[in-house]
Amino acid sequence: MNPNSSHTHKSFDYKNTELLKKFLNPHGRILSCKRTGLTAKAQRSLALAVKRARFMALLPFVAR
Amino acid sequence: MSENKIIDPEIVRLYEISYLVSPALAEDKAPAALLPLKDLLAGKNVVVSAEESPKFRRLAYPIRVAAHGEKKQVFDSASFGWIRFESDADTIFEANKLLASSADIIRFLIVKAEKAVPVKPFQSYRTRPEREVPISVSEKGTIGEEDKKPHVSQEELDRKIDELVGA
Repeated sequence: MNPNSSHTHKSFDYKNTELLKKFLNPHGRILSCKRTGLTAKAQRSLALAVKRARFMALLPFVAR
Repeated sequence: MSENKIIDPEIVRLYEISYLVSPALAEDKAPAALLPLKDLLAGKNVVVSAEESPKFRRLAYPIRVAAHGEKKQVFDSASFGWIRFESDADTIFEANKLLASSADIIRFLIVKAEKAVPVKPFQSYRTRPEREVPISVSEKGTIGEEDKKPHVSQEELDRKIDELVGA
């Protein structure tokens, strides 16, 4: 993910799985802020959205 | 350490409920699973601000749900939909109980939604109105004193330069 995209994502929606998938690695784990280039606030929003999407079975907990 | 937070039941918040309807109900019949909730909201005079009807989709992992006194069922697909409305805490508490007891809804999630902030449209610097030039204030406190300086014509200026260069 391009670090310059950090300013374009202020908050994440758990229903927007196509966007969230860009911030996951092939195993379904959330990429670190070092890799995503997001601000701390946006990274927290991302983590919350991914966890909500996992609960609703829109995203996997573990992908092989 | 336990904190008893006093929650005012009168506070109205924006909530969003997303749900998965059992694949036993066809996609076109899935909205019927939400009718009891909609009746509850209508009874409380709650206005639904946004909604998306359930759409059939494959789940990222199989969900095991045990019906009342029955064997666990495994679902690997369901209809996903959501509804957003403003209500108080009591209504949400009742909605939670209603959805938990529903046989057709295999999973649901209640979250506090954020109100949509209107996005400021991008405006090019070319189309922006020109900023007003601030009025200069001199040390003496008089406004625009620089403008009162005597005007020097081009001829006088040339003559003065010639004098200086010649000297």
